[in-house]
Amino acid sequence: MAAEKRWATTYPGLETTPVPIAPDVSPDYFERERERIFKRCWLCVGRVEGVRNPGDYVVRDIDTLRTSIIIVRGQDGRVRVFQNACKHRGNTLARSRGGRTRSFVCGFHGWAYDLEGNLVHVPDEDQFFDFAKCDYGLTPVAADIWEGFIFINAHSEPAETLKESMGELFGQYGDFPFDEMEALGSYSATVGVNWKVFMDITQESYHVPFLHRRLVPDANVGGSNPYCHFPSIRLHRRHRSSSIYSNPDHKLTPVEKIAFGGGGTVLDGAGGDAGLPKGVNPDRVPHWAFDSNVIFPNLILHVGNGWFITHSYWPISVNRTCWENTLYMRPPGNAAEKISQEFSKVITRDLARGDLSTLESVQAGLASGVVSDIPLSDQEIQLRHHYQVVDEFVRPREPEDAGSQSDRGMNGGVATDGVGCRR
Amino acid sequence: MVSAVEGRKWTLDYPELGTSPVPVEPTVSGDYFERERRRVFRCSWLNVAASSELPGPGDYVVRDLEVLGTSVLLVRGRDGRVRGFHNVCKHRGNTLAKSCGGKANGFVCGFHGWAFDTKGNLVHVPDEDQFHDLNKSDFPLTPIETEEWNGLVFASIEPTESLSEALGEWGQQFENYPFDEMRPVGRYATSVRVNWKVFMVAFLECYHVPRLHRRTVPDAATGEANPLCHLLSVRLQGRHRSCSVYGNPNHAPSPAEGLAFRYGPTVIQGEKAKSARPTGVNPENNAHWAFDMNGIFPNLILHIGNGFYYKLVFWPLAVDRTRWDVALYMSPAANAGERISQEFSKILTRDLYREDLSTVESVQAGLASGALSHFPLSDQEVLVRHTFKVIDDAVRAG
Repeated sequence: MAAEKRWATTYPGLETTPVPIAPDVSPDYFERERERIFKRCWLCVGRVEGVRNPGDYVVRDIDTLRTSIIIVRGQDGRVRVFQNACKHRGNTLARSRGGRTRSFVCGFHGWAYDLEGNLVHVPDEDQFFDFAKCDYGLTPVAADIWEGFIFINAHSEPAETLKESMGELFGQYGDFPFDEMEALGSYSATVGVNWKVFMDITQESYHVPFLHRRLVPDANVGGSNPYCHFPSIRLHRRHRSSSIYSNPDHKLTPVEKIAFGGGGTVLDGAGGDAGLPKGVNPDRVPHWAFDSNVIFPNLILHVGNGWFITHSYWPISVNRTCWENTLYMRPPGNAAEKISQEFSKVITRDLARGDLSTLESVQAGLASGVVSDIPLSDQEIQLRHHYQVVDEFVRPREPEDAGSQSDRGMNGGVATDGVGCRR
Repeated sequence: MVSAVEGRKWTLDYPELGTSPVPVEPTVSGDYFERERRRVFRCSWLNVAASSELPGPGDYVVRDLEVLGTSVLLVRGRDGRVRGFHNVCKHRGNTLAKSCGGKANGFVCGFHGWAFDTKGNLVHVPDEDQFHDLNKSDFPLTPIETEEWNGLVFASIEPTESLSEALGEWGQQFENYPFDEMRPVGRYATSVRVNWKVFMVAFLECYHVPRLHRRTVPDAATGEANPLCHLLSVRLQGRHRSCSVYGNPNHAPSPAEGLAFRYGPTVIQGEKAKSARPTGVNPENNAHWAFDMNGIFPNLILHIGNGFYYKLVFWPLAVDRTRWDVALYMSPAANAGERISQEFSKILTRDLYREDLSTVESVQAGLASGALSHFPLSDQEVLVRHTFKVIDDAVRAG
């Protein structure tokens, strides 16, 4: 391992003092996060492969935004997103989780919409007054795509484009073959923890030698790096990336031997970065396991050699978060590869279980009032950056113009001071 | 029949209603809901029971009125009068009657044993001489204005008019309807994540019947002459509203329905029922009449037919949460055959309600999403428009 280096020196803009935990437990802070971050920033809601052909649609309930959306590919091949509410009386339009259709018909009074959101049929239409179907198309939600990831913006006029929002990461993965991979497995859970605390556990590896000591005793620690130090940390304006260490002397268990023999796994650092696009492991650190990207506000994207993993964090309340985790790999070419992939799926699940069991205890401790500030290690600098970025959105910059009615978006838009995504 | 009124627009008979889309805000705004509490519920007469729930002296029921932050104790005195009280002991404020109803000579508080009679007088205070200058007559139960009207019991915290004034023209129309002769055959209650008005208006329009209820009643309320279940007639009466609903004369009964029809009136049999139609319902004598839907301000719906009435009460708990009390009343069954017919009606009604309930929570979620700021209402939804109008008038009048 390279000579000890302090990340705090690389990023002098960050303090080194303990960090206040009020943002993790304050309901008021949480409501401001909802209004100023989640209702204004671009949020990842899935992959384009989920709506591959015209008529394919996916329905997603977004508790954070108190809404449900339909993601649908039109006959013209374009992916569109709509609020999943009939424009007659507001009933939920699409009731299934997804599928393929030519139109959406409301179950209440039978109003029908086409894939482009146009209202195309109203039973008993002449009973309405001064009525034009074109006035009642489905409410569109701003949507754009980055490397096959579908993002939405709840604001009717997003303050910045998805490209601007992605910033330094926009071109990073241009050559990575996301589209060649398929979802191998998904896990989701609703956990009694603040969304930031939840994300934090995947932004530091300080806990790996302790919390995961039984599961991965030497895969990411050992030799020159007993504490799983990051070989590379890259703090961006709003996002942050890091590279994770892989122990070259990792001793395979009997099961791992079988799995590793069948193809790449998520623990298989031996494959290294050979043949990878230059955006992956950009510092070309030796003994590289994978890259972790924290994409503001609520997506974590791990990119490895031949695989990627997404974690989405959907806050429900200040102390409740829904987490969705999906592992993507290339379709297996044979049975041995399938075994190797199943190993990756199961180890991912077990690592997540270890994290989840800890998180609710952490939240309880923070809520108890016993601590008001938490000390953070240099290895936890991403947490420090995380709190700073969130706080820049949430902290009032100027007196609240609470009377403003100009702010329109989902839920009618609650007036805020316009800090939001506008930079 | 229906063709005779085809082309007529009910809404245009009531120009004060307008025809433009109706704002969503009253169904999702916490502020609006707080104003409804004060300006709609606090000063209105609210249906809290049927007289048949308190048939004799000492019979009592307790009703939680969450929307007014209190619980009302209704009790019939030895003089035959139903009285209402805040269900609160006047000593330290403990809840007095803990059960939801029964028969009692009086009420004893479980905290220190203060006892009240059925007229609300404080009649016993244990260890009374330990109090200072205590006069029991100064501590009766706090009364709530309560009146009986034709078999229904209403209460009001701060009434601004008498019950008969409040019921107005609608009340005159139904003052001889035999509510008091009917007996409860079923009750349903549930708490639903929906605004009380959104919930209520689902039972005041038939536009949804051909779609939502197509499997449960495929042809009982729709047919060749009236494929979209248009209303037979509409009557807006001040703050109340009613309409007559079509029954298809060519409805083909299923085997179970055929059995039920043989023995007595059912809810979907309408005009074909053998017994004479009681006073008040179907005032225009529409042919092919099934039943009348009545919306009584603010939160009561009565579906009244031939030999039955259904009482639906909508109790707001929060802007997006409503407790729903439903009681099905029918003329007493004279024999086992009529009993079978009544059970059929009860089960069919339950199934229709389940379809309605599955929809209203979705509707509320849609309204709360902000996807729509106004909803367009068809002429067939004129009672929906009227409901929002009269409540909004009350909220603004404050």
